[in-house]
Amino acid sequence: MKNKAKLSELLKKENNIPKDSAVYLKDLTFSYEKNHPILKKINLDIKKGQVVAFIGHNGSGKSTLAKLIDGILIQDSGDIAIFQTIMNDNNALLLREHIGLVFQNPDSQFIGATVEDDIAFGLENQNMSQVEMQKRVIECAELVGMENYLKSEPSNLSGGQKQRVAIAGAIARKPEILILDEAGAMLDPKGKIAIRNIIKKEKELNPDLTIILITHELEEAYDADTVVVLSSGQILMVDTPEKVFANDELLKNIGLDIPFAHKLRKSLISLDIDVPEFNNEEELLNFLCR
Amino acid sequence: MSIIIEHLYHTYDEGLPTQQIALQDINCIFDDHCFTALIGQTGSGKSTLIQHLNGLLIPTSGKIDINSYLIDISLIYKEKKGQQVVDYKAMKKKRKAKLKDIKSLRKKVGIVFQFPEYQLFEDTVIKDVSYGPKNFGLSETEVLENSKKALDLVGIDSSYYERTPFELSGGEKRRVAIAGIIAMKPDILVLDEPTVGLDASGEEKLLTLIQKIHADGTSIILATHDMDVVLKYCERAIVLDRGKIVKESSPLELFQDREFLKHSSLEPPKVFSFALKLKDAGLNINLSNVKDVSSLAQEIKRARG
Repeated sequence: MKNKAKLSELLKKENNIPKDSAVYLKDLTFSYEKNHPILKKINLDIKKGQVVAFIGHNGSGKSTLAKLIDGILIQDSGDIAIFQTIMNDNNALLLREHIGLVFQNPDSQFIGATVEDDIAFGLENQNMSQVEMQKRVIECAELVGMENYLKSEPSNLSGGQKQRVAIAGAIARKPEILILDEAGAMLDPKGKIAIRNIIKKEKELNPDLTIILITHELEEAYDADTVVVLSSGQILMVDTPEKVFANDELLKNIGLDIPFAHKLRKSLISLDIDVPEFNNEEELLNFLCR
Repeated sequence: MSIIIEHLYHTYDEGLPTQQIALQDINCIFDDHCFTALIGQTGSGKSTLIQHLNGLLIPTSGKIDINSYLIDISLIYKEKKGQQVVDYKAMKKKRKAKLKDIKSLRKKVGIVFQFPEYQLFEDTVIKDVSYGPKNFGLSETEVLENSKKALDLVGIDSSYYERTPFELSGGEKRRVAIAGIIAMKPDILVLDEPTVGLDASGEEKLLTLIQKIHADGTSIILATHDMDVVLKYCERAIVLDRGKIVKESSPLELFQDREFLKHSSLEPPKVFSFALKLKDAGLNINLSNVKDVSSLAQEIKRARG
């Protein structure tokens, strides 16, 4: 009884944080070195089930933000709340249960000796039966198309395969929040597309999943409901991908290139072809072929 | 000024347990006044091949003819069939010794390596750029003139001459480093991933510069991962995979070869894939006119009438 009471106290929900909030950041400030803040007073509310993309050039603070949300780093000041619970030293590990994180470098995130061990790793302290665990591992391996490699050694896989296993491991625990920190950055274009498709598939299977994409490839940000533009540790803009990409001057100024389809639309408009706003490349294609 | 490569093989650590075959039976021609892309993933052998073009590496076997500067291993060392070669070191030495007057080759072929700004070392910009031509025995005035011309070409004006290169911005440093190669007036300019790490506008400036150097009569060989660059600027493309040439064609042909692309990790540039989709959907797009976003827009306008 005592333990239960303690647990509920640890995970106390704050009423002044919106009920539908998955990740809530208030005045979040962080620095690695004194007087050189990497993040300056970040305020943001990521809603449950949203797909949010953080874009920004190298050093803009994107990855630091991901590590703060996962409780790997501790902020200098400000608050992080996961599902209305403010993170502190005592509950960070509990809150982390909600979060799956995939990093950029496929080589730096393997623990298991085989692919199936690796996917199962996160399940091992979840009080799951062997049978259940096996079922879940196979399920996740199938989702990422690695079901034929269960007994393989991770070090023998290609970069793209490794990254798929890392994603399978992250979603095996059924996190409510999935953070992908440049998960496709080291892969070739085909590998990148494969990762994007896996994420889309997982989202369809699990519509309540909140996804945070950290990327400097703007094409990836198309998949998001909301795009957050970071520059020098501050939020410059929070809006839909269409609105953000329409603002090409701002993006250019912070060293980012606008996605192809938006560039083409601009170019067509400058040739007096009237192209309406669209949500993805398919729509543009359909419009042009009409 | 052309380069003809025949049956080129290169093996690293030959004879050691760590022996690794880096290039296998490379046959290709870089024509006079070419603008050719070298494409391939990390480890495909691009950099190894580039280092052969001015004698930094000597082939394990095969022949390279760089505008009649001949590197021919069969002339240097005749390996008899069936005979076991034991002394690899002596063999290597022998190969190197046979390369006479390597300076004349280095003058013909200038190589800009990846991150050339790391190779800046003099205390002023003008001294750094002059270093190369000075070593080719030109007179003082000639050296200075060449260096100034090269700096002018890369858009570095005289106010920079006496500044230390280390305090320039990343893009400026790279342009100074490239000027150092151009000042030697090579007939062939080889660039290994010259745009990596530059932002969008720096990249465009550098490529426009390379285009200009090409227009002035220099052959360009460009190693790159960026298919947009290949489509927009290059006339030919050579694709390397695990030490072998797997495709040699025009970019237009390469990006239309669906069968080949299916089995490789190459992806045509977005602008080209989109043009293909438009064409598949019935729009009369002339693919050979599609080089970048603005030319695609013009093609679309023309096709829609």
